[in-house]
Amino acid sequence: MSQRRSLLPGFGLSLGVTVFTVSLLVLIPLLALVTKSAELSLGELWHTLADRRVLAAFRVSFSTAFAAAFLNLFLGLIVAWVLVRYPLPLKRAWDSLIDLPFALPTAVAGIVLTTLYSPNGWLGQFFAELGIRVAFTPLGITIALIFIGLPFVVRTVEPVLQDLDRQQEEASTSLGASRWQTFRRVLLPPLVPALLTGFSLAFARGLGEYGSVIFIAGNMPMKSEIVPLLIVTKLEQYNYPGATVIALASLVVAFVMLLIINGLQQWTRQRTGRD
Amino acid sequence: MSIQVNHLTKRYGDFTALDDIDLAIDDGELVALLGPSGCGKTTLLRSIAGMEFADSGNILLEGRDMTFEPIRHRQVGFVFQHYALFNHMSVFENVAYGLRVRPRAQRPPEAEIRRRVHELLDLVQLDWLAKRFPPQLSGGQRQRIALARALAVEPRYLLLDEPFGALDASVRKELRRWLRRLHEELHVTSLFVTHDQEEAMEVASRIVVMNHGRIEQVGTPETVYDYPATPFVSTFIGSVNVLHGTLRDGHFDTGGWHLPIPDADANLRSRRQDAFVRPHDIEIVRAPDTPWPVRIRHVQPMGSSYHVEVTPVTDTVQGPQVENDYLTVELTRQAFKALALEVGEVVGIRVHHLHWFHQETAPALEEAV
Repeated sequence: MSQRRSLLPGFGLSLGVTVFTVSLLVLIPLLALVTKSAELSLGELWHTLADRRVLAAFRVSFSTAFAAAFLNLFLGLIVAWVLVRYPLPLKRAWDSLIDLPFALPTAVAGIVLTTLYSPNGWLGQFFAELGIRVAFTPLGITIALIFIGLPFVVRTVEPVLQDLDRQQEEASTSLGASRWQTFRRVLLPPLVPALLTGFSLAFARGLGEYGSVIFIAGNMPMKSEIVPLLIVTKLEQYNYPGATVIALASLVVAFVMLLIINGLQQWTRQRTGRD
Repeated sequence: MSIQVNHLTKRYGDFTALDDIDLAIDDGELVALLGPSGCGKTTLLRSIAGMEFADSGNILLEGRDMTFEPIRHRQVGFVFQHYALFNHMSVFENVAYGLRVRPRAQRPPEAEIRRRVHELLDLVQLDWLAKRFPPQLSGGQRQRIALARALAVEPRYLLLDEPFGALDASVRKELRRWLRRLHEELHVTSLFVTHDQEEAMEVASRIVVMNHGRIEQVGTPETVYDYPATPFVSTFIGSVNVLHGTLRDGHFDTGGWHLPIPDADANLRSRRQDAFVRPHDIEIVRAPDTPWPVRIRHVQPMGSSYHVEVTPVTDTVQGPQVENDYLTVELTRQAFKALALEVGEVVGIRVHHLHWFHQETAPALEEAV
């Protein structure tokens, strides 16, 4: 086998570091998860996962994470658009504010949101008047996840938006396109891969989010109990294999969904001749 | 009058991009807006297109006031320096774009769109690239596609902003000729911006020379070259030697040199004056006793001609006042070979033609042969 000469040396070294890091931080813990789950027989495994409470938790976790990521797609795009395109006073301050959900301890966010949206909170009382309960329902969970996921979409879309050629928009209008047509046909398509990345990051984060959710969720089994909480509950009952099985199942489903999103991204790229 | 611009003024803060511009362009003309960068030529083009809006003055298209009309209603085709093609669409879809975004009632049927797009791609000789995407094309191909895209909507005016600025020299030359032929075929009123005087001379039927937000001169390529209206036009179009001196008694005096002006006006008052001499209006002679001796400083072969830099040789303390301290002489290949010039040798020059301007602002031209 002939060795390909590369301009930058150190392929062997960097590959070694990569494999080492990925093994130490990702693969080995996952392997431990699998071996621990393997302590259960297939019957017990089925019994754990097919439990109605577990299935309900999965439903709550995936639907809220999906809904939040989906809404963040629009909110994030608008926020990124405003930050990139409009001259705002205190732009830097606004810009830093976007990253705050990354820095804030999630529990703090959870408690703040719960206080605001509880039926007698500042915002919750208005919703209560309309007969909408926010806190202690999946709606509350979704709001917490929107808060947590927004920066992912904004930060992935922002640089792409910055690099867009403004003259393409001018070209579009000079050819007679309306503003909506220019947005739909010229602006949006190059943003789709970045939007999908932001969506999958926000979605993945939403699935695993614990701190900000448990306060606002109310954690009612069958209604507003999320998967991470279920895992913690199992751990507290010293049911380690049960906890790992749920964790593993959650991981597998998340992995499959992220794979699909990545495939979608690949497809949009190919379709537009960028690969 | 196809395009008429009246008293157009545009400021960006303290900077005046357009200063009271008046311009009229006839149907079917191919006009170049020529000037150095920052002279306002692009701002003027974009104002006509409707991408910028002037502070005062107005723009008439076909006699209708379009000053504040948005770009989509102006029926202009715009070609950008950096192509601005839609990178996520195939070449075909790029060209079809202007037809596809039409309101449903005016949109041609799919078969008609196909026919039109292929017709345009044939016109720019790139039909074989229809399925490719813009990033896969060369610069010259992209600009031709951009032109086909602009023509798809059958614009009344074609506006091109430094269309060949991003291309390399050989592609540029080819595209210039191609653009002129295309214009002869289509006869759409066209206006293009360039900072390259050679490009303007080669392509345009009329040239608008701009500087500092003002129009210095409008005229055919011959006129702006042979009868420049201002010192700026003299120096910007083609190269020119500038001599500082005095007009006196039918002579132009600079240092110890007295260049005769044969049919000098009797009323010519003596005054300090800059005179302009084109490099090809100077002849090099090998007379033993020439009144204007110069030393050959450098010889630059340019292919079809030779540029020779010469410095004046004088006995007086203050020699001829030549800008940059040397004169450039352009010799034909034959003349250069016949003279067999050597760097460092002293020869004589003869000035066949010089021109000057009374004042910077009043573009009255006087010539001497």
